[in-house]
Amino acid sequence: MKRFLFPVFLIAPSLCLLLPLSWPGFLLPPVLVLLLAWAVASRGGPPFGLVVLGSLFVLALCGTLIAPYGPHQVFASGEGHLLGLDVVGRDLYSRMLYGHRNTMVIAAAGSALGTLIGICSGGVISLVERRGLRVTKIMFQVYLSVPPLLYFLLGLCFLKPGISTMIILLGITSWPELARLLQAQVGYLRKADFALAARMRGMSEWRIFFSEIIPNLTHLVWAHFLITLASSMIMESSLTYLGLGSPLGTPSLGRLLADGIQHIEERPSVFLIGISLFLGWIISLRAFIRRYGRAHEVL
Amino acid sequence: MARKIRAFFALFLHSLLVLWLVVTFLFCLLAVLRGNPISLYLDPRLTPELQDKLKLIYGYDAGHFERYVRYLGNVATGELGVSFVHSKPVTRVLRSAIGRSLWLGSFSFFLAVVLCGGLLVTSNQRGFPLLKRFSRFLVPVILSLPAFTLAALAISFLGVRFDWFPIYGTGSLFRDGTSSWAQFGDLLRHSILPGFSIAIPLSVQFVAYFEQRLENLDEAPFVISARGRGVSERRIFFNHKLRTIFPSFIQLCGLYLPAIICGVVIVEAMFGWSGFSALLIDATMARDYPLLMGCSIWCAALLIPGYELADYIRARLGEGESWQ
Amino acid sequence: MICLFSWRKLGYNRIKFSSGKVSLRYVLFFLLCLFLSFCRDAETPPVETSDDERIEIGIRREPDSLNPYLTRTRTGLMFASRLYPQLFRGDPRFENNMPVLTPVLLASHSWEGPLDLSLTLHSDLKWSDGHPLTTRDLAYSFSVQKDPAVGWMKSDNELLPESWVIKDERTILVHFNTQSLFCLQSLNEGFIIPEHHFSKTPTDKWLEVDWSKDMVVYGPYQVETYEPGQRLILGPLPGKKAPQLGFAFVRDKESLYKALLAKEFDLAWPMPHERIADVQKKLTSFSFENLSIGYIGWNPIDPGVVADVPPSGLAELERLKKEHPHFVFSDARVRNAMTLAMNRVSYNKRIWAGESRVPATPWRAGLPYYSGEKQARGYDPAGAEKLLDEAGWLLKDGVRVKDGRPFKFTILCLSGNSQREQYVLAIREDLRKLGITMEIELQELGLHINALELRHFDAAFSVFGLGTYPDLSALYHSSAPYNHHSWTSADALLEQTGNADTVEELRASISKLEELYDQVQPITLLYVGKLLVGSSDPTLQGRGYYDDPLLEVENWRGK
Repeated sequence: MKRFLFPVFLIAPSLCLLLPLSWPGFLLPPVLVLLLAWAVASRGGPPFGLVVLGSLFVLALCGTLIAPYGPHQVFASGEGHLLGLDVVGRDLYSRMLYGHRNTMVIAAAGSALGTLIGICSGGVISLVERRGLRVTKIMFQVYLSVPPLLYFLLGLCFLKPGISTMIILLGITSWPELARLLQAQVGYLRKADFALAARMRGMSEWRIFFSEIIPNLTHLVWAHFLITLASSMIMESSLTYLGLGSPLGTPSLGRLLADGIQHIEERPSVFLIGISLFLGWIISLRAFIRRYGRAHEVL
Repeated sequence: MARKIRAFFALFLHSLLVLWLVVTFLFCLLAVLRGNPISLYLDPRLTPELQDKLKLIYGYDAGHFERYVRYLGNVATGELGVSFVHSKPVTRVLRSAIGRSLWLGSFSFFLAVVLCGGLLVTSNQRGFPLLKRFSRFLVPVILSLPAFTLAALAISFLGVRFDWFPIYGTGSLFRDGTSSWAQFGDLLRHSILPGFSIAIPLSVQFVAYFEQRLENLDEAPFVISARGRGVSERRIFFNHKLRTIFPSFIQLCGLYLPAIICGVVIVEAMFGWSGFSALLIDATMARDYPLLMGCSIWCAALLIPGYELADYIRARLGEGESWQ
Repeated sequence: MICLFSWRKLGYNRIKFSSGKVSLRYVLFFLLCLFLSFCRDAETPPVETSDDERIEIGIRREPDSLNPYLTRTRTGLMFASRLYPQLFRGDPRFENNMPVLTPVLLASHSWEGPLDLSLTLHSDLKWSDGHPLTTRDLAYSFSVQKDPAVGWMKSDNELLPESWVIKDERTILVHFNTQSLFCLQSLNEGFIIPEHHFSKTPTDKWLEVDWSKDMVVYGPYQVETYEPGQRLILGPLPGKKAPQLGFAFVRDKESLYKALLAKEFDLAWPMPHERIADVQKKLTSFSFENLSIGYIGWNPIDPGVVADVPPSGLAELERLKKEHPHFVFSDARVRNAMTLAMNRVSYNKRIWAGESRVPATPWRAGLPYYSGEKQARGYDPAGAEKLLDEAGWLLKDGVRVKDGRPFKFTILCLSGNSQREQYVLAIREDLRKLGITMEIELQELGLHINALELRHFDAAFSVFGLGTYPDLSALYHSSAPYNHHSWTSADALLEQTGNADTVEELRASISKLEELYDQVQPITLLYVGKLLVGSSDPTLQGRGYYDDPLLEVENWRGK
């Protein structure tokens, strides 16, 4: 049964968005999401997570090319608009495609930033000798004593609200986890034979870290990036839903979900498609992480 | 005994050091990024005398270093400044909020534990294969739902459409003069929707967390020997397996301590519980820096000893790895 | 709770906790104490009130202060109206183009000269603590209105009484320094507060007092319960017949709407503008113009010129406009073109669901003093293009250019208000069609006001509460604090309006002001502010006026 579903999932995301989105077409995305959840629930079988992830990624990047209108263009009437208009008169279908891209880009950029900071700080901390370890332990404790959401709220207060602020905040709240993971691994790998050999050849510690040690930790870093991507998407959508996201009507999945929930009785299509997109990302990400983690013995 | 007192004292000093670092970190962040925050909030149309007086009241009349020293002194005595928006001392504003957050957090945690326990028990019994399949399949969906979705759907359908439960606040407006039991019942009724909005995804996370550990225990020697001795499956589950994973449960409590103490932001905001987290959101929207700082410090002050205590209890109960 | 849980799961009757063993009997004893603590009797017997005698109200913010002279918000004024008296009661009706003022505390009042007014109080007025309300309270209230230590937000009104003489306990003679049609109105601006209670604290310490404790009020309401941030219950004073009012403070408009829909409130305001159409469909509602205008102010002065101190006075503003004109908005043709380029009626339809309207001039935003009919200018992009071409802004590759500079400017807007954001976004789209690029900058309140005062802006979205006076000197006079758009040619006409002796004189000067406004176009009006109050109780016949959505709430449940 799962093997028959596999080709469906290859084209599923694109299929959902190109079919008519009125009744009963808008039921297709949530049904596909439930099927995906069922397909990834057990071990083995075809790589549904990877396939759906790939399709969603392509859709996020290229979706704006098929958007019929801009995200801020205003219309007087809702005739001829697939998902209708929002309260200000903007086309919801186009806003969904742009919002999907924005959320994905913000989450990915934030996770990438966090991963980069995590790698650098993990390296710095591992280079510090034992007496510095206490200091780093206290630094981590200080950092972790404040809940991540508080960093977001503090950051949104202190910095100018916008896409770049969101990326920076996602980055600076996600690095401690990776730094901690790397600290242990790097400390262990620094004593390995190849590192010793490089040291004897006269390489500096930094060069050893970047050219010898980090390539051995690619899987760990990549797994962390994917985990952070999932949590960043959730965080970005939640903050946008609360009204703390990018201002001036920047489209986002969180905003789409907010619009959808507001009018769920009159127009359930918007909410169902938005939540299906969102769940599609998270479920496929988690399935892919599980599979990848097991394959490379990272998690 | 002396060793225990020394250990406790070391713990206390360590917590104080971390708290001082948190206060300094926040103060410097504010000074670097925003300068004197009162200039952002004060209406320049006020007379200069009134502006100076307000600066004095809010504690923004001196330079950065003097304000820092004064702020440290105030924090040590529990004075966290005056909130711009509420025009009241921050401590007074927080005191009423923290009770609501604690109640909601504890109530949801209790519900989550009960739901998790129910799911674990029923999915482990032989008579519920469908439930096991169902939970296996629905777990990734519920785990992936953003926190606000369940709450928003609960409000729209159970609250507005069918009017089964109240959707706003911690109690009825005109609850004074009724008996304590009636007031508690009113509080419970208002806690049901927010409680379940938090508890359902939380219980699913707990189930995912514990199921893996419970599965691994099936091959444990003590379980095999108990089975060999003829002990029933139910007794093995309750008396043997659950007891083994109890330290993990304490670790979990430690992990969810921030949510229990500081509240769940989204649910508090949507259901109108003026708890800790909702205050934070208000402070962010209104750029109320004293309140924001006060909340952060209070958060840190509650969480640091909480984490240390969870760590200590878990270490005493024998789990190897630290939460750190 | 964790211990109990573990006891049940483990089947132990002793709990292993830390290094000691805690006996179950102690746990049960603790639980018994907890149970008993809930069983205490109610301290007060339940109040027997029916639903008809209660109104549950959801509002956004709690009052910033319960002291009527310290509050700076309309919510604070609304609560003050329920607790403290004014000399007259304002009414949305107008007679002979003048507002109707119904005496409340006064038995009589008469003019004893062009500038002297004699006021006589009723004889049996009492505060809630039994103390009589006398002319000492009036005198004290007038002095507080002018006290700089208090900083009352309406203290810059030049028509406030200059001096007063107490004749006896019931009679006081008030002296004004200018003759005007609006002396009585300005006398009625402030609330009368009890001197014996408020004077216990010197006015320079007023900010430190908790005004919700030990209140002495006049009525018809008193504060029964106040949980800061949560709720406030107003109950009628003994002997007064009025419904109990329960206010819940709800942080966002969407939650207000949902709670109203779920009938948890009888009334709620303000409704989110995205839900105006839903409110009209699913609930009952009433709305009233709250005498405010939303507009875009244009800066005719180069933003980089003024340094630290705001420019003051006619001479300095004229000099700055002449020597350092704004490269775009110094030209009246451009300002007029901007007005024609915005489809303001469609913004109203979209953002207000048609509830509001576009006024032709600020004098037609809810007050009756104008004469004749006048429609707001419609959407005329062709007319706007013609004016821009005349002013030298020619279209080149889709962008308006003059002397090598593109037509590009930044509009300032307060952050955190989605309605304003939607307005500026819609305006940006309309201006783009004419080749004009508009950037949007969101700012916090303090920074925003600072930028306006120092003229560090090109254009700014502002909302201004007009008040009940036709004299808009505060908005347009060269010396006024809110004249950020630096209009300098209206001073004489504004003074004439403020000093008008008769209604005819008033209407004539307003007509001239409107003509001048049309030529100069210092601001572009977007909407007349309207407060929409949603109601889930059709038996409530609500009405509101100016800053009070609960006007005569005692009579709302039908006589």
